[in-house]
Amino acid sequence: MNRARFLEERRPAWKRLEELLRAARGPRGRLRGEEVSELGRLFREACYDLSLVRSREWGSEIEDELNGLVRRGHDVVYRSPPAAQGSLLRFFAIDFPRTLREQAGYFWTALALFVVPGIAAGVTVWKYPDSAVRLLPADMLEQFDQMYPELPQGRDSTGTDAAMTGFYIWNNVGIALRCFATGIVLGVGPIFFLVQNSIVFGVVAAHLMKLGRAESFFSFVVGHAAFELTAIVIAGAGGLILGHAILHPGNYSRLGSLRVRGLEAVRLAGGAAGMLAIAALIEGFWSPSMAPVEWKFIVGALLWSAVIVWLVFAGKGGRAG
Amino acid sequence: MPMAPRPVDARERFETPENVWFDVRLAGPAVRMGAYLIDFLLRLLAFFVALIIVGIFITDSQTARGFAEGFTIVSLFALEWCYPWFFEAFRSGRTPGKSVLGIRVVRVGGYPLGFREAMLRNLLRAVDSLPFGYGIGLVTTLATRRFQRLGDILAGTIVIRDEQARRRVPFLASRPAEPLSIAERTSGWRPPERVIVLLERFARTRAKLHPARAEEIARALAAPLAERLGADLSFVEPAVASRSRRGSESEGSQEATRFLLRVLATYSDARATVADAPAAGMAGRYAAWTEGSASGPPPSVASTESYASGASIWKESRS
Repeated sequence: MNRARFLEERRPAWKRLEELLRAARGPRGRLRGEEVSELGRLFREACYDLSLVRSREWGSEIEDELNGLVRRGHDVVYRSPPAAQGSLLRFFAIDFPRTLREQAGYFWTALALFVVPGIAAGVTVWKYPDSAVRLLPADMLEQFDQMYPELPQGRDSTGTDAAMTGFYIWNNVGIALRCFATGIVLGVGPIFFLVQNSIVFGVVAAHLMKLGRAESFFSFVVGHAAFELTAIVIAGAGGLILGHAILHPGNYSRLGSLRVRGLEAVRLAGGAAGMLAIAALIEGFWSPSMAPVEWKFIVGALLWSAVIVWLVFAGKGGRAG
Repeated sequence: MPMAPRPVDARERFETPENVWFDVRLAGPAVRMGAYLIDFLLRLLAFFVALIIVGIFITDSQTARGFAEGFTIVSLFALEWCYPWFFEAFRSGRTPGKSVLGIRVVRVGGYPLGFREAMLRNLLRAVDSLPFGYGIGLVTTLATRRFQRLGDILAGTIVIRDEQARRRVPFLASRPAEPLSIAERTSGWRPPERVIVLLERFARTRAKLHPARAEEIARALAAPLAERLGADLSFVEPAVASRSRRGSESEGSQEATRFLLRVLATYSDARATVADAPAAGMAGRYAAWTEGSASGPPPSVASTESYASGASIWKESRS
């Protein structure tokens, strides 16, 4: 077959393929059943035509044209499937807990980093109350003093609650995501972040307990802590996965290991972000409310159990997809 | 085993399950920065619009004000973290800024992005934007083979140029060259397919070259062609003489170029239409002849033979 006849025969098919591609990419983006199979067939034929033109060296202009056609066809034929309706729910209900359990080792490490320094600092401040000022700046301690007076007081306006919720979302989720991302620097970011926050919490808690503000402080915190503290640990665990992937790539190259484990770890970051959003809502509306202290502790306990049950049992008996 | 050095260009090759490969062009840091700026301005605009809307509905009550603040902060957060991820995940790697400049994000194999890749590559902006102004991202982009910043390396994505169909630009000059007449082609030899393709490529790239340079190239092609075709070689003589001069600055004689264009006009099927009266006869006969249909005897027995021998002569042209 010679070039002229080839072009003459194949041009209509290419034109038709271009039409179908335009329709598939267009605003409605839907093709009828028989159009879909026609598209598949035309695309494969166009791929063959491209190989033919290349092997016969029939000109770079035709080759460029077909190259573009195949590229656009490839994009449409192999496009990602549309997001399933319940995929967000499925993520939180199944994929996220499963991934967390699979990466349990990192979770426990992050937990240790988050708890042990805090306990050590807290015990120190409990024994030597003056050391609190050495560990934290004095104005920060004063700020906490003011936030948690002797008798718990609530905020009296939902407006401020909403504003604070927004602030918590912006602040906490941002910090947690940054904690995750900086894990790529050999895991130094998350380690630093977890240890630092642990010490702050330990010192503040011991300091306030010494001042007799324990009830005020813990009743405020217990509600959202179930989600917030757990989420911080999970985000830190995700960052540790990234750092560890570089240090101990196993059977992959370092970059390959980063890529594979990074895609797993990003699930943790996404789940942690969601948990922090919930925590922000609780922290904004529930925690500062005027509800009686006993109720706050009961609700806090319920939330803790809910979180633990969810993370331990949800989606059991399967691998994360 | 020595391997051919990899060409230094911004092309990336994807191999598809249909056992064919196609080329795409990678998007470099400059155009990506531009897309980022456009996205940044769009986000700023969206934020101002949100502020205006909030300002319209706000009342003096503490509650309303609080909700307004909360909403503002949350939208700030969403614009900072969720905007790029949302568009890249749901629009096949095209944020509005990228769409404007015609680039998009795909996976390294050429396949569209998934959710996790989009999220991962955008979460790592936190690191890419350090120490300031995407410093780390810029360094990594310039250092990797495929212009990947840190987030791209981790997620296994690249940014390519998303060119839509270009209009086919006719490659012959505005003043079409007239085909060679029979008298000028005494040998009856027909240039094989490869030569015509070569002439087409020359005609196309001619516009990008300095006329003198184009003429220089044309002479290399024109002399053997004219010899095979039995055409008049008189234009070669002044070419030999002028080679001693140091490259003519002006247009000079474009004899060889014109000759090649005329040869192309004679034999190229892209030009042959029914409307071209002088050429139609020859083109029609040649078309019938090469297809081997029985619509008429070949022009002459002699030319059939010379075609067969002409094809092999071209291969032996070096001797």
